[in-house]
Amino acid sequence: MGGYLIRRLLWFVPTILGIVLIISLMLEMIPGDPVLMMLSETASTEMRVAVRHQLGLDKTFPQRFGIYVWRLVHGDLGRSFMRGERVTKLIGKTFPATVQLTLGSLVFMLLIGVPIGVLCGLYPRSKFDFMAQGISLVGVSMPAFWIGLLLIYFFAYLARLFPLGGKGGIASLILPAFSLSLSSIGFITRTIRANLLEVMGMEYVTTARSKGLLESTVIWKHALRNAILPVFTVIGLQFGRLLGGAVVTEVVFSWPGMGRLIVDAVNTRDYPLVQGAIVVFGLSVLCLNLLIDVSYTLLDPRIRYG
Amino acid sequence: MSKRILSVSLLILVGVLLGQVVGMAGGTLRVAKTLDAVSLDPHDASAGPSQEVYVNIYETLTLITADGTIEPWLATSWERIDDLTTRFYLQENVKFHDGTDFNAAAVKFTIERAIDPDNPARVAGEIGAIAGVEIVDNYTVDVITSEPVSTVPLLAAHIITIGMVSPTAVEKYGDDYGRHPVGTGPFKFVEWISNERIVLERFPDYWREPANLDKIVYKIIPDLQSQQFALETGEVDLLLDPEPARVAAYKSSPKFTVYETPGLRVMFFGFDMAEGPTADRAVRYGIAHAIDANLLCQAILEGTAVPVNSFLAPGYFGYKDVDLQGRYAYDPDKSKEILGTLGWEDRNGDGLVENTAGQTLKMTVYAPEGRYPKDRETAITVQYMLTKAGFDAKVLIEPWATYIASLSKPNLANGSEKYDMYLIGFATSPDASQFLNTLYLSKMIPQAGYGGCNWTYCENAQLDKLLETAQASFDQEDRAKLYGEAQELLADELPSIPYAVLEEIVVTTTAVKGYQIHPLDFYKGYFYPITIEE
Repeated sequence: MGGYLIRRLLWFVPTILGIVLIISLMLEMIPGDPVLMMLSETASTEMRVAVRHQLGLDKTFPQRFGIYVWRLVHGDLGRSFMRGERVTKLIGKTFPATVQLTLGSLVFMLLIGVPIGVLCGLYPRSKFDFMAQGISLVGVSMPAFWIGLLLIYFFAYLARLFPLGGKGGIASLILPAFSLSLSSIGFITRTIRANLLEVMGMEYVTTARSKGLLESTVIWKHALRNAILPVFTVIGLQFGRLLGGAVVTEVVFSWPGMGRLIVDAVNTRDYPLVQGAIVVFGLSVLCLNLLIDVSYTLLDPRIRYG
Repeated sequence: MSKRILSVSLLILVGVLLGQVVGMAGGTLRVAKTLDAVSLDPHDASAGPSQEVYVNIYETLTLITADGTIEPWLATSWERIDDLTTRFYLQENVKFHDGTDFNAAAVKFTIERAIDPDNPARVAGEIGAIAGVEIVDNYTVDVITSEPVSTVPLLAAHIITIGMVSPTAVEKYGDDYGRHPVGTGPFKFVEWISNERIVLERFPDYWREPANLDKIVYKIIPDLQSQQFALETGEVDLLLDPEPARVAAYKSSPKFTVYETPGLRVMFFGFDMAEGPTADRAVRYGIAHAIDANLLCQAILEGTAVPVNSFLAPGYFGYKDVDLQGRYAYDPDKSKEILGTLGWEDRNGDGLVENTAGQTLKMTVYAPEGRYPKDRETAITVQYMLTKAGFDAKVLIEPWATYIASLSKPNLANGSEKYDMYLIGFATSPDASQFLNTLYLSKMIPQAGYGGCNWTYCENAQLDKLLETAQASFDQEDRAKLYGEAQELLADELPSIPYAVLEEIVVTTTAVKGYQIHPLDFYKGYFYPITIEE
């Protein structure tokens, strides 16, 4: 296990370097120029040349990439072109808001999605199953900004139960987290339903029943424990996806998360900020995957890494 | 017993609340803002979203009032010493928010920081000809220009470069100064949480009467619908960027006050004068007659813009009404007639004109998306208008970053496969010099490396001479006359066709009193005179 962990951690290095290289190349290839984004339309030629030099953009791509990697190794992500602030600081202030929103939406996903999935799996093709399937289809299909605005309109504007937006206490988290969770709820419901259906037909369930065990014991101790494992895979996937920021939800709810920061950075060709954000995402997804892989061994004794 | 405790505690509670109300006589102004600021260092951020915040933190030597006159501000008076020198006499007893004295040294520090390309300053080009500052005594400075420039007192109102920064604070915070701004203005900086909020509070030692407001809280609310909800539920008191479609509704509601004034941003289509069909002046005339500016202002910009009769907005010094709307009145038949004299006629009855070889008159309208109000919609509508006049028009819309990089690339206009006309909005200090020079002087044609903004590739010796003479003249009447002639010449040459001047619009709740709208877009964020009624 220890050797496995070390090997996995060592792989982080080339993975991150690869990610940085790809994003840097992509930034290089898209049209646009950070200098023009920073200066006003009326700036003089001398000014533009000076700023270009100041940002180091007059160096060749390999030179700039080399400098970036050298700094990265020393933990320095540079300064944002547009905002002048250290990238680590900007991300350090924004990332927690994203994690908060992500965790919030996962809580909703589990609280709502798991029970519905279990009920649908236990009573397939029942009225409840059809209804739940229908609703989850609607949830997955509705565009995020529309759901967001509806939630704001009814629960914040008319009923005044929640703040209209912005990041404040726990109350401010509920609407954005719920609206973000809707698409994942549909996903997890279907996953659990399918798994449960499969497991209920397995021989060990039949065995458990034929031993004369109570149906509830069969379901809770034998079937569910096996059907629930994929939930962790789903959590891992959703977590990775949501960490990248949920731009639309963030915009509608004025949530100061990573999505807005990155879209902004791409639109203004703020290279260091885009690169820095991608490095942070890359690292968090890598760590998360590792964590989930390791947790499998705890949840399912059949899985072992050597 | 418990009832008595309850009533006593209620009384205490009421007392505490009352005390708070009395203590907060000035109140807090909560402002909805679509975009976060970029930096609060004026030398580092020249865009509107930053300016409209730091206009409350920094002050300039002179002030441009809403009617365009120049008034004393941190300078009490000024005089021209010679062609290259203007002397400013400074206000005494002014302190920066950190207690540093405002004096001649601070002026020298600020201006030289602004024009030094090695400093973070990304704005040096903004005041072009200012070359340095000499200290005469503690409260007197000479501003030196590299060539005779008549607009120095106007330039001294330019907040991006002349907004006075505290030398001690700049030294203390170094590269992080943009997050710790220190000026002499009525409000001092408290905190800034990216994409969330910016907070300023009253500066008690302000050199004039301290502001009424205790605090200004800018809430960054990117979605316009959410901004509307926030205003209606009382979560914010003022919208800096109201949605055009909703302005009429705000006007008719007794709960809100709408402030509006024609601004300084001129929206226009520039032509590629170097190559392609638009290199021919007659074709440009034909296009001008095909565009219905009234319709664009009323239907597309929903009444938040007005058609314009010259290349400048009326708020600029030197503006002359050259009757563009009359001269190039909307008349598609006239367009067709002009095209007919050039050999372009509708020969196959499909509504588009063809030459004798049967080719259509191809035309690409190039526009950015999301940079100006309704930029995309405007371009698409103009494409339709051109088609109705017989042009085989198509439209090319790109994100702003790609768009501005394409425009600034030298000789791109010569590759007319990219575009024949482009949409842009321009605003400068309210004087014809910077506006017309930047756009139409032949030396501003994009060069290798980085180009100027003469994206029409307009090259006219007579125009160059008029603009350069006006720039160097100190006689305002003379200048006005020269700029008038320049606009006549432009109207005749037609390197571009303006279609609108945008209005500056701010919406507040009726509790907000004393607000004054200003044609300079960032001055609409100046909140010193505001009081809030309980």
